[in-house]
Amino acid sequence: MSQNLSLIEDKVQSTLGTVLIVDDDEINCLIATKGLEGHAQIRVAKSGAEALKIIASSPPQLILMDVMMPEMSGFDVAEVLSKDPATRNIPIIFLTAMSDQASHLRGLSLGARDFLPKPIDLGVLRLRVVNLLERESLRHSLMEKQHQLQQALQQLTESHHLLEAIFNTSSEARIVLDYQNRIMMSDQNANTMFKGELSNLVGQNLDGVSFFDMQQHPIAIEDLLRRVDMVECIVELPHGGRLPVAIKNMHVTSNEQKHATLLTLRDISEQLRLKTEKRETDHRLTLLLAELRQQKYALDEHALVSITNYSGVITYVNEQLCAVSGYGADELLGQTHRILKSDMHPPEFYDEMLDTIYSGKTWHGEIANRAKDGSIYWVSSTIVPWLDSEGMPYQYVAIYTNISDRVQAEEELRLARAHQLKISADIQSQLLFGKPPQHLKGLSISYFTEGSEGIDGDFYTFQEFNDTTLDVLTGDVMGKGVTAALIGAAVQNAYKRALVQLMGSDLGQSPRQLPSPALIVNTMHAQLTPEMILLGSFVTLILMRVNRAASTLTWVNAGHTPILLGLHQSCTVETLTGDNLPIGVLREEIYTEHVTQVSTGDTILLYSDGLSESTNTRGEQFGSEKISQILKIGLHKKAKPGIILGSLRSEIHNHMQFAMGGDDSTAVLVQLRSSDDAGTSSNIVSFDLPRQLEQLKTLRQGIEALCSDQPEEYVQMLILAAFEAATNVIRHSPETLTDSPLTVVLKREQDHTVVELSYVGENFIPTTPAIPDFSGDTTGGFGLYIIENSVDYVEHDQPMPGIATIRLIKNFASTESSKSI
Amino acid sequence: MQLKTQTLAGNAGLVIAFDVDHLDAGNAPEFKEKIQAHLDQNNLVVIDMQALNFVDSSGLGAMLSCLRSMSNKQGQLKLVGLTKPVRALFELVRMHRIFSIYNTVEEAQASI
Repeated sequence: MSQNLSLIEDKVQSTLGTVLIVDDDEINCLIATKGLEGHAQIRVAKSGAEALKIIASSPPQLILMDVMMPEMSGFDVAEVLSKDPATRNIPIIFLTAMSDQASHLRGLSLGARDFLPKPIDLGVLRLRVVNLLERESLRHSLMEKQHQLQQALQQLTESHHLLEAIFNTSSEARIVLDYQNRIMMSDQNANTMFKGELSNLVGQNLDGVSFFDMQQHPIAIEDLLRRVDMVECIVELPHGGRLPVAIKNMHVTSNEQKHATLLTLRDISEQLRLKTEKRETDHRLTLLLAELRQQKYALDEHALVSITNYSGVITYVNEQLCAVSGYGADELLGQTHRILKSDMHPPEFYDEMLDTIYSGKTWHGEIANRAKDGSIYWVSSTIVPWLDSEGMPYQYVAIYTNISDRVQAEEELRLARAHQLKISADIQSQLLFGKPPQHLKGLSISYFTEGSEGIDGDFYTFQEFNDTTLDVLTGDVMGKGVTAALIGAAVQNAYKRALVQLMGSDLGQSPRQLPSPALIVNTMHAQLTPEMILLGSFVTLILMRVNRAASTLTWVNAGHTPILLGLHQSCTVETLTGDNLPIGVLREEIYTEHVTQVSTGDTILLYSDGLSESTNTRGEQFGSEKISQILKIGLHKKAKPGIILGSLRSEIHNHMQFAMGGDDSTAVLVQLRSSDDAGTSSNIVSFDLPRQLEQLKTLRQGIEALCSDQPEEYVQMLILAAFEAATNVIRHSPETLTDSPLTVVLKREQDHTVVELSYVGENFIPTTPAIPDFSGDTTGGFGLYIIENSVDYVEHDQPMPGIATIRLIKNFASTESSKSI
Repeated sequence: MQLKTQTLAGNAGLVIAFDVDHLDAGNAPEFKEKIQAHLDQNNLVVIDMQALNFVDSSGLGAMLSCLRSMSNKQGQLKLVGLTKPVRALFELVRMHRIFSIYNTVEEAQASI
């Protein structure tokens, strides 16, 4: 017993806690204290109240309490304690001398654990206290352990929920198998995948589920589970139906070495479908690329291609471009297109191109580029800007076709045409338009032709027979071109042949007579008309003969425009018509002639219908009426032929403005002069000068001849003034009429000489007085000053519409003192 | 037109003469063109105008441009041998005061 006690004592001392002894009897307290010494901590209270105080501050593990105490009995204290939950459970051992049952009951109901009778048996006391304390300690331990267990359990439950949540929120299907490959759990995805039948299979193995590889060969599940990687296979579901899945398995080993397996399955049917689609798309792409490569090849074979980036730097050139431009690719890459720039386009050309492509639009055009060797090549170009997602150009792709050959061919064609036109013009002027004799006695002749584009069929020929007779043959071949010209030449030729033929047959006869115009024309007709009919052409013509001796004008008109006869005396214009058909129309036609009287001063005007029919942009024809009017004015003014024709030309030009003539305009003017002809003894000299600065010699010669008797100084000054005037006129010629001549009239009057220059154009009457700069700083402006100071009078005139005349008058020195210089 | 040239004694300058008898609107441009090199290469040029008996305002203008050409480089231009009508023209337009005019080449040379 004592051994046990000592064991217990050891225990108690280390673990048991505090005992509160409550007794009003001090001796009892001492005894109890002594008895429990070494077994627990002891505290003593002498009264109930003291005990309560102590308990409140630091509750003991056990209360040893006397029942019989003054003021508060032990039962009273216990009652108080029982009401407080903090103290209710503190075990109480009542010490009491009472042994009645009622007290025992009361004590028990108040939570007494034991009763000890007084006097106290220390041994028993010790045992009971130690036991009780031990039990209390154990109870506390138990309660604590229970609390801990509950907490652990709660945590476990939470973990479990978390795990389940994780398990169920995966996008993959998950199945957990135990070590015997039986299904332990499956998540919702797995259930869905297996159409809800997996849950039925829990606890069973996967016999109902078959696995196949992608080639449809079956796979045993053990093999599957042995794989450590992701396996693509086909799972056959229990109800039928196959699903391509990717399966990965993971072994989970628990403490007891029994493993479980987590199977994750992912439905890859979508993935497989996409893979197939991609394969098909790739295939299509490969085909398209091959096609593209073909197209590019074709393009490269034919076209020149270049690509520039957004700042115009060349990033790609194809072989063709290198070949044509003569530069290697390395020479072009990194450059801008300026390297190929030729001088053939103005800056505006490039500006317009750049504006178009910078704004994202495609540009088409033809460009002349300069090759490496300096030669020019032409390309027909298309430049396409490639736009990024914001619609801004990020590169420019240019495709060119080499059209140099074409351009060259066009140029050659143009040159050939121009050459042909020139030849035509030459033919026309040489062959078809004969030069009128300039020094005919008693006749002044002027003429002009303004060609339409290309040759027309107009022609005129002059045939001088003797001093008194002149034939003029003029006409118009139907049609245009070289054929018409050749026919015209043939007609002229036919005229000459007819003459030879007719005159030849007259040989031996005297007096020899000229064949009449009618005879000539009929002879021509006999020869020409069959040919013309074959050619399907015809020609209108007039053969006119002026006989000054007989003062007659004889004519045959074969369908041509009528002759206008301006009568000097009456200043009227007669229209001389004909009544024959053109040559080449009717074989049976007989050509008749007409005669009329003419006298000195009469003016005869022949014109082609191209002239009268000159049409302006408003569709109005010039008309023969206007021609008559101009002739009439000329008659009134007694104007020279050159002037009349100049006026006619000027008026036609005003009428036409910028419209192009459709037909040639031809006019011939023959004027009967007085029989004092142009000679050195005449007092009036008149001639036409071409508008060329180098051709003014005739002017000087004419003045020298007319004034040969005058002092040298006089002649020099007059010539100087005339030259200045002529130079001025020529320098200010209107462009369109540079071939209309200057008509010069030199008149010697009794006391002065008149030099008159008439020309198509405007009078150049200066608005400011002609005081030139004498400082020598300017090299011009002297002309007018010289004129005014070299002669006595300067007059300006407008003799006819469109004609200006400047008249210089210099008095002879003998009659009046000349203006001093 | 061909210009006849002759170097002055002592390499002092160049004498230029005409082979035509007129200097007018017809040939003044050609004259200007042909004489320019001579003006550039010499500091003293004497133009012998004996051959000319007709000069108009264009000829006058050509002479003036020669004068200006020489003045710009501090050279000298002298005209000699003016015939009567040419002299009359120069006097008419008061150019005789602007040009250095002498009767002969020797006189012109003596004046340097």
